[in-house]
Amino acid sequence: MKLLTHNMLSSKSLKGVVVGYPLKIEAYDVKVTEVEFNPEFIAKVIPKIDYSVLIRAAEYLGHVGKLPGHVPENVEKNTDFLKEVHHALLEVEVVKGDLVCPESGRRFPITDGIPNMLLNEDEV
Amino acid sequence: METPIVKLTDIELDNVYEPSEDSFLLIDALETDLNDQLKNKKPSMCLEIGIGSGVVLTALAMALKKFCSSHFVGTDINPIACRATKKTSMLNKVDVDVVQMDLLNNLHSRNVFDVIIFNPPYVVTEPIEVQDEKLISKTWAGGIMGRQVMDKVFPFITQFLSSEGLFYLLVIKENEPESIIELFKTWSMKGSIIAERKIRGEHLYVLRFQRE
Ligand SMILES: C[S@@+](CC[C@H](N)C(=O)[O-])C[C@H]1O[C@@H](n2cnc3c(N)ncnc32)[C@H](O)[C@@H]1O
Repeated sequence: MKLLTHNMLSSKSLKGVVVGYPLKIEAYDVKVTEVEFNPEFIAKVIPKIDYSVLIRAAEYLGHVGKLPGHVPENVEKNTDFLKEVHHALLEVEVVKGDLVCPESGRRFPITDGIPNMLLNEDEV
Repeated sequence: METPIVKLTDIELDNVYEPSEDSFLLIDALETDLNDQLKNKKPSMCLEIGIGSGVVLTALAMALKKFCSSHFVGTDINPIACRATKKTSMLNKVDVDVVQMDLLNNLHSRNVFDVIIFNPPYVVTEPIEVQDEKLISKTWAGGIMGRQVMDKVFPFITQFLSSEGLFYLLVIKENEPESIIELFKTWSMKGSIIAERKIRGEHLYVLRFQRE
């Protein structure tokens, strides 16, 4: 699971959970792979993500690097920033770990990079 | 569009939807659309619900690679399908992030996806068969009119689709494509049939929806 995908996952489907976002990450195995950098693509993705959630996710994994606390202005021309975001969103992957619901503490295991978000019948 | 290599083991064949006529019609429809508009729109986020072997999303990823970068997310209720998709995408040298979930249940609703694809379980069955625990039953059992599973996601599509986003849906005649197009008008979405094919015993359609 890449952090770009994590940015879009929630546990709202759990009974009693109101927002269920963002999910905490407890990672036991993190893989870093090189992905081709496309600045135009990253600039298009930034408005689609919750940047503060990305920062927190990167913190959980120890991959914040030089990511600033806020999205700077004129993102399109800021190659250094785009590269940092690219790395956090696409190059860092959780192979094994847990996603944790922020409200209920319910854990969703990630195995071989695939989070299992399925609930038992009594949880919905 | 190049057809991805799909290699399923015996266990996977028993549990995962094998690429079939419907999968290939969907791929053909996406190929036509690629030339008509997708390559110019450069979708940055693509989602497939119920990826099965991963053949459709992998085909799209392979084709789009030539024009733009995008992020591909696939979901399935079936853990063996999730793994099979990882394998299919790797075998064809593209990246698909897979999450096991029930329909759209665990996606934070935000209008981020430029493309959403769904080839649902569409076969008309007894309602009870939709509840069948067997993973292979979930690939096809659609209940009343074959609509019981797909109908659950329809009202939520607009919450996930980006403003210019496109939703591709595979259905059969018994699902009543025209009535689905009517239904989507309720959510200010216009739809049309962009491909159809008659095979033994099934009349397949690909519908495409976008905001009015
Ligand atoms: C007709 S198959 C299509 C498979 C693949 N997309 C293709 O075109 O070859 C339907 C898929 O939907 C999945 N599915 C069925 N019910 C689901 C649900 N509630 N949530 C997520 N996926 C589901 C099945 O496991 C199966 O992989």
